[in-house]
Amino acid sequence: MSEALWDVLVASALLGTERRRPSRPVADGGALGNALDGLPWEGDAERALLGAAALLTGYRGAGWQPPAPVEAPAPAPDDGRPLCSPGAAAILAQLLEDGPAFLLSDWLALAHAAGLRPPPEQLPALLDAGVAGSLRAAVLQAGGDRLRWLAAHDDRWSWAAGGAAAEADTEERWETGTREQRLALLRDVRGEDAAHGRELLESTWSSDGAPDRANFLLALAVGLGPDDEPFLESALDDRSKLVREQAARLLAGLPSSALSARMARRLEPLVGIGGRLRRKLAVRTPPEPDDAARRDGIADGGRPHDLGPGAWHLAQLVGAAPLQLWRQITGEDAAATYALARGADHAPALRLGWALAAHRQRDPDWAAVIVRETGDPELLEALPPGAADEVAATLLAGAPDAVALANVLERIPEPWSVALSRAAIGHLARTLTGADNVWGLRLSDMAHGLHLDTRETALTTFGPLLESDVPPAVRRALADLLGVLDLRQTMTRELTPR
Amino acid sequence: MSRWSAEQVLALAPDSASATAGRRLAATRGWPVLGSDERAVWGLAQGSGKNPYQVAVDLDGPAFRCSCPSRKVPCKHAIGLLLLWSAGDAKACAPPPFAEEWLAARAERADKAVARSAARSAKEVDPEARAKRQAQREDRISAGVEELDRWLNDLVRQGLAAAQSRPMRFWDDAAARLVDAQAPALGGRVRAFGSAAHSGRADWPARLLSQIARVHLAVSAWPRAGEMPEGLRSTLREVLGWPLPGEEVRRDGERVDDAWVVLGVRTIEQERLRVRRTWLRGERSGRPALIAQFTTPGGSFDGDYVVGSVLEGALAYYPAAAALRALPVSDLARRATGTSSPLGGDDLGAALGEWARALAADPWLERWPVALRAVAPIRTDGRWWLRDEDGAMAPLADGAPWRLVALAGGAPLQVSGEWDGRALHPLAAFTGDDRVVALA
Repeated sequence: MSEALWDVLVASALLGTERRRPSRPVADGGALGNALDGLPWEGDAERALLGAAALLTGYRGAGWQPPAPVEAPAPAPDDGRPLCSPGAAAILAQLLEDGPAFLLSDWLALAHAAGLRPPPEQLPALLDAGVAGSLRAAVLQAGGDRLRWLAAHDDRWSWAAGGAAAEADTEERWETGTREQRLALLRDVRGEDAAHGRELLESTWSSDGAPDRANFLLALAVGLGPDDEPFLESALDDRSKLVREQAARLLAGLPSSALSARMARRLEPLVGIGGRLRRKLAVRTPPEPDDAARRDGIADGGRPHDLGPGAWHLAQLVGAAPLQLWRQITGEDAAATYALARGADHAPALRLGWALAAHRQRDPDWAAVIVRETGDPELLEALPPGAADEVAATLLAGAPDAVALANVLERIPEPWSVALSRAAIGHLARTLTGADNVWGLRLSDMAHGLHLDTRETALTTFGPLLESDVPPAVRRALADLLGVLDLRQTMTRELTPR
Repeated sequence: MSRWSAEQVLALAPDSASATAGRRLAATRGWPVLGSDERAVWGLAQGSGKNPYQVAVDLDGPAFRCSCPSRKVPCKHAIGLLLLWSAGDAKACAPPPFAEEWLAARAERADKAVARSAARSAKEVDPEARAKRQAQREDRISAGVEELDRWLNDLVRQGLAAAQSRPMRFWDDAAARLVDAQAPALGGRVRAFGSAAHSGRADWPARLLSQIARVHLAVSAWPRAGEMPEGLRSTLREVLGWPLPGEEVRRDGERVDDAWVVLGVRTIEQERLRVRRTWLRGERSGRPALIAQFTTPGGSFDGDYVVGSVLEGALAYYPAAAALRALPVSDLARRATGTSSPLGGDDLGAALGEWARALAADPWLERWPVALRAVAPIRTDGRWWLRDEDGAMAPLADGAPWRLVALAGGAPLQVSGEWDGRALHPLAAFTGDDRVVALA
């Protein structure tokens, strides 16, 4: 009775008793019925309606019954890992709220390594943090089965749910994202599964515009391998010059590629050993590039001002040919070969070409030689981590200022070795007093890169500076740096397996 | 006193910015002095200035003191200090002079307050003047209520659909007239009509009619207030907004001495006010209690309640048909919960039964605390529910309760919440790994 009557009352109230007058409900002898029957339905319809609504509001509110029982929900799989400490949980909450992302990523990695799980109530925020992309792998690992289970409950987290949903999510984002989002996605996917990334790229290749295609090719540099060659080789015939050039550059990074072999064939007849008093490389200017050479990316544009057109073509040939070729030509290793350029014709073109080749082919031997010879930090990126730290530390000794320091450090993967960290702290202490605000930004990066074992060194070096007469911006930046180091230290202690 | 969890500490922060700043402070060095004893925690916090700030927290209460210029209570330094203490970094030692002086002054003030309140209650009030004031107020309310009665009748005669097209002013003006008639709480209910009418919900007519019906009930009850039992009359006065001074409640209200479990704390912004509702339940008496506090936006609340902790002491209940709102008679003493079931709890049927009895006594009742022993969040029919072990379900309030869902992982756990007659707003959960997690 009460449900039907309530609906009648609502309809009458909505239209107004002027237009729809409620009629006296049939009394059923119960307490509610009797109370309703006592209202002035004939005389004062408004009062009757309001009185009945008041009775029913109380009646329905107090009498609300749960719906019929349902089956229990499927429980999440058991996460056997112990819960992280309250201290670690508090740090996680802070990082989730206001970053920085690099420390959040550290937290997740440390927890995963220690076999500890984050507090489950923070998993929704973790999933939200992963939506943007770069933290996804770390979030999935640290979150464990409970996180995947939770992710299956909401569409925006489908990337973490695993299986078909995650795959569909990737495709959807690839097809609908902005250029920047798609580029970031492609880099992420390439990092995890290079073939899958290439398939994504190919899936929309024919419909993407030239600037997009050229941009996305950049992402193939992540996880570049011989399997990418057929696709890149076909891209050499692309409609867009930008795409063709980018494809040629990538193929030059694959010493086993057909393009590299063609470049080697073009280069070989031009170089030999000469010199009467002292051995040196004898190099001839290459002929005007033919159509095939132009297809392989040899171009007139982009020429540095100190090279002539022929020398620029030569540098591009050197930059795209496999570096092993030089051992065949000179019989020497990288260092000795580099020395043979001294006094040779076209020495600047050779050196530029070698630097290009070492960078593209990630050749550690050549990269180390060139960094040492030139002091140019760019090739640090081509070095394996340990070697890069070592070379970087020697570079720091000669780095004149804070900007030079940053140029070196930003190329070294974190965390840096103890020796490099010490060198960085020492350099900073020497150059900081004259530094300007630019350093406010760089110092937080530095706090992330420093090896934790050098925390004491940082404290004893920077602590006195805090008390001294440095500009307020520098003091704040230093305090931040020490704060981040402290947080990293606490985090490491809290996330140590017990 | 046992240490609080970081979570409990952060629940004290007046806003999330203070919580964040506090965590940041706790993570840095800048604490040249740090210590605690059974009753208090103190420290020196290095700020941007030359002298460090003197921070101290009296754990009974708790009460906060800091020499920093922030008006927030507790300030970020106090939060940071408590976080350090919570992590075990504030070792036991004797308090430094600044903390000792403050703690002594607090103890003295508390003694004086007790003496003052005793003096006040002993003081003679002029009964004649008081009766005159009361009669004036009753006349004003009666006039306002009569006018509201006509207004409500017009409303349903012309129909809610017609009223919906009126601007917000239409409702606000009616509410303002009630404030003038010294029935501000009733005015608040009338202003809420406007929100219901413009809520955009499919069921707005039914919701609005329920709200109107309850106001109609108050309007028709007022002329007969004299015939009512005292409890119901007090409830009606509260519905109208007749203020009852806290000291009267402390003096005359029903006193219940118990160990009060903090079931949950919920702070909302409402009509340019911050309202904090703290829900308690007595371990021995089983009685629910609500400590409702009001402040301006950005303001802070006196006395802090850490979810899952237990407060020993006496509460005084406001007189009411279904006693719920209460005040601490004096400072409550905090102790850590010792049971394996800190939030306690019933099955859903028992909780709903208690709600029905309370609603039968007080038809204007808006919400009631519930603690459910073993419920799991489950999604069905496009919304979230709490399902008890027998399969019975109560709907959760709008929005996705993700933290609770993640905590439960589909398994039953103890959950406390506010039941508003339609849905449950989760306030806290007690998890399988023995933690009380605040959810509101």
